[in-house]
Amino acid sequence: MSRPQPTLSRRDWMKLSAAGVLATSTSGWFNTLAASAAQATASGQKPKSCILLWMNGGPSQSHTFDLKPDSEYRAIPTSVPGIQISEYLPRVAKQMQHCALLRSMSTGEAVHPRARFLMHNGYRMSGGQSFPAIGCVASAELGRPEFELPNFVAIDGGVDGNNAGRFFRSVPAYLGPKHAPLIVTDPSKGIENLKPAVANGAFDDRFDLLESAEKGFEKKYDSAAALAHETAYQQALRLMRSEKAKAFEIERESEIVRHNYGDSQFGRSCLLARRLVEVGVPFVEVTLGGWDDHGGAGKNVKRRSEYLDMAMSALIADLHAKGLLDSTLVVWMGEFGRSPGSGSQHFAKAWTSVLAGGGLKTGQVIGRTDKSGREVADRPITAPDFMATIYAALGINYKKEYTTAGGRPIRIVDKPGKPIAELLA
Amino acid sequence: MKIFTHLAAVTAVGLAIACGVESVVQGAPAANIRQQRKIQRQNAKAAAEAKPTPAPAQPKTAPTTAPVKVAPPIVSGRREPMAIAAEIDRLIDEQLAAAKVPASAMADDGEFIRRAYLDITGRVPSASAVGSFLSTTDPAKRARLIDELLAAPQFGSSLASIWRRVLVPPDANQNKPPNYVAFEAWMADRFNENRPFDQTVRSLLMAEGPVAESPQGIFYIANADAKSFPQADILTRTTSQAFMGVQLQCAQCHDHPFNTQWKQSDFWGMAAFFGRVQNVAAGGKGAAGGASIIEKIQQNGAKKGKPAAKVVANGSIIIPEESFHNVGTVIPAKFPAGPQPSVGDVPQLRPAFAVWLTAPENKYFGPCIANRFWEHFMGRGIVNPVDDFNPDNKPSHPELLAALSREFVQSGFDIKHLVRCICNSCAYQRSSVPVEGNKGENNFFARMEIKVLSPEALADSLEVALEGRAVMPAAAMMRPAAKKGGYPANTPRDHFVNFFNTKEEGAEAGDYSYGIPQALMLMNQVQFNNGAAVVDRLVKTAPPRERVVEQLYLATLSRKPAAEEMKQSLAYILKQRTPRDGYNGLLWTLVNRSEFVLNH
Repeated sequence: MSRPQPTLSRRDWMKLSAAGVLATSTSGWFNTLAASAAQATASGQKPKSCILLWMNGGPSQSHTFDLKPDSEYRAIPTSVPGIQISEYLPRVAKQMQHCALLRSMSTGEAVHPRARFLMHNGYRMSGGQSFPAIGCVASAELGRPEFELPNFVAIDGGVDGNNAGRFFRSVPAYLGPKHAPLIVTDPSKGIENLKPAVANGAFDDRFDLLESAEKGFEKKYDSAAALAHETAYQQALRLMRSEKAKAFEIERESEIVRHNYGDSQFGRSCLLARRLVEVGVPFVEVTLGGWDDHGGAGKNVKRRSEYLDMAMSALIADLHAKGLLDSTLVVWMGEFGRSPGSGSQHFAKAWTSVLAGGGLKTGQVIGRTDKSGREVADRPITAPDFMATIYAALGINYKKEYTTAGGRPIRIVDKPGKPIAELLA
Repeated sequence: MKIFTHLAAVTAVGLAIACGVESVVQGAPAANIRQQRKIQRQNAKAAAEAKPTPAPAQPKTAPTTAPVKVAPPIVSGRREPMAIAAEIDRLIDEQLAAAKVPASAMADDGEFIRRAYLDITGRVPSASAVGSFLSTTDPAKRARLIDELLAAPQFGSSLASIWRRVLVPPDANQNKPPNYVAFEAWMADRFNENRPFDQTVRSLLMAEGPVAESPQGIFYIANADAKSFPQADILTRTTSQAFMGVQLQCAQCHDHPFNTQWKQSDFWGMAAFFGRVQNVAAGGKGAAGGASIIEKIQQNGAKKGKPAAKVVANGSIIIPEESFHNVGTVIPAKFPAGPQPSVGDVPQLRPAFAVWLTAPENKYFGPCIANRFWEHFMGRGIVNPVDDFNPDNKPSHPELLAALSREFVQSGFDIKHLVRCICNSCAYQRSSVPVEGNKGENNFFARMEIKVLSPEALADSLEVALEGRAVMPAAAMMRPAAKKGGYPANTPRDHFVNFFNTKEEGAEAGDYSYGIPQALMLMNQVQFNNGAAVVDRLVKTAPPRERVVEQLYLATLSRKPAAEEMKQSLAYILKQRTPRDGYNGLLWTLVNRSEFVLNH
């Protein structure tokens, strides 16, 4: 790491450079710091993106992707011979060549907040240490400093059922606040406050006056906080003026496309996610809440499957049609699965997640549960293994070490984690 | 990271030497040097005349069943704040001189009043308050202002919201957020009444009964699981960070990896004091009856209870499964790095801990609280971060910390006295504008640290500056009716505060954490754009434009515009359709400036 500018504290430096805000100036305020722009991904490869479809509450694998002969639902064949999934996911079944089912997830945390923490951060909740969530890490590792949009967007895809507490809030922890997600609470509305409240000309006059005043303050006080404030305003202004901000307006899609994704908040969220990835956002998380089916999953999952099936299959097909599927990893998962059979209980010992696209070897099943579905019969996948697989698929060095504010070194993925070799091409 | 800090310090010292810096006040304008000397003389005079005043009567702790008796206080009285301020300056100036780091100039009156208002009452002063302070020639006006602000009710309420964030973990109890309003009101009253802080902390730690009657019990509802069952491990983490300034939780799963100070038995030994606490009203499944329901917190709608940890009959705690190491080991209640009190058959363990923690001779409590208040005012702890006292994180000014702590304890844990001592020092009253030789130097208190306004301070400052139309539209000034379960509904101010609550854990006062959505809201929401009560009031009498510009500067930045700023403002206003449009736009630029969101 280059020697910090003496006027920035080490911590501010770390934060600013990690946040990629040091090189975002449109006005030349930050010339002295522009060197970090060189850190932009210059590998020549097509940058990877990720769309995480998070099923908050814990979806039942027995009612989705790991059915047994005695399951409540019937299993149907898919586009890949030998792989069967729920009868209520027929459209996803037709995309199975692009999917890999991980049926041996064995993660050991069966309490909602602890499991959400573990499956977002890769570390168990312990002693109040906070960790950056996967979206924040992707923002830091894949995000481009000169990019006009935030590098991590989290979309509220709706709640349908018992949510068991609020949505998980990804925190960037020691990566710095610029890697916090930009939260979109309603995909139909996109980002709020993007339009000036006064006429454009009047807004420009105001901003010019603001900008000239800011220069004076920054020069006099030599303050990193002032620099960060100015940077946030510059980024906000850039977003207001960016053509790419149109990516947040899903009504620009044709009626046919919107119809394909389905008339649901989750469907609109998936469409928004695709639009964001298309313009270069490296990480989008869409949360669908309500999967904590303590009264039994049978009735509820059938209802949710209708729009889940439409949205998820449309997303995969659409990415494929646009040539984006190889560079975009789609992940479908919750914090854990549910007890085999009725799905009324939390179950972290043997459950299923789905990976699609991302250049992985798809059209296969990894791992296996036994006949009862209660035990992993083959190839258990731990939380660190799973996280290492996601990072490896995204081209992120999962062994990389960060340093916390307290000086503690922490790897992106905890030491025992190893990617699933069978998936990596 | 430590290496970096040291490197930076060494380089800066080298720089200072290379620049031939000799005087610690070089770079400060002469007028400011005179002012600093004047304050120092006043303080020294006060110090000479000072006689110890008797401390307020040490409050009687509620009689408890605690097996440990309250030690006789070693209180000898409280000294003159000016004398302590002079001692603060002596200790800081000594270190500045030794390191040859020059101090910045004294803050001017505008900087001072804005800072004192923000730090003591959590909001900027009104334009009229600034105007009259600037025009007063009373030489003791700064000390007088400090006293006035300490008497304002906002002193307690702003400190209460700060302490609420310390005492309620950000991830606390996701399903049922506790009733912060009642908790903050309880804290605010205690700060405003200036109750001795040891008493407040004992009352908090020993909370009993329905929280509707004893709102301090909300501490236990907040440091709880998703079903409002208090958790001994969370309570231990919060209590050790808040009141001892240590990261005991690093030893939760195993002995501390980096410093050998804390053992796993210290963590769980302290946790055992909380092990029997239960919220007998917590709802939901899993609320099986515990070994004891003696230490219990109640909430409305009580049904079942569950103790805060797995405990055995004598109150010893069983290390739970999540801990990786020594799972199942039974640990008796024990003071951190201290003895194991003989608890005998006493059912209540918390009083023993509370009394131990807040005893005048406790080596953690006094320094931790003195340091936390120092950090609040100075932007940086003498031990920094404030919750990480450990042998590898030494105080930058050990004698100063000892002096502040000693005074705090001997004054009978008098918070307002501690604030007076700090705020009357030259160190507190320095400008944040760096001078050659102290740029990037933040270990010496050579200049004031620039602090970012908290969400609460930003909301309340907008309220003051725009005269009441910003965060809370008039119709919403009243808190909406309570929702089911007795939780107060959110006000527009709460929504604003939540929207701006972006600070990550462990961030420092100077870390800016607001992002794009916050900038967009301040820039583009209508209530920050199309004028405010302050503009309405100002245009009513059709005053000269210069006067409106000046008033808007006073209302937002607590100072008059510089000549160049006046020129630019007038040129801008002239360009707009109407003067009112111009004033609205100018006000917009003022509240969106770094200078507004920073306490400098």
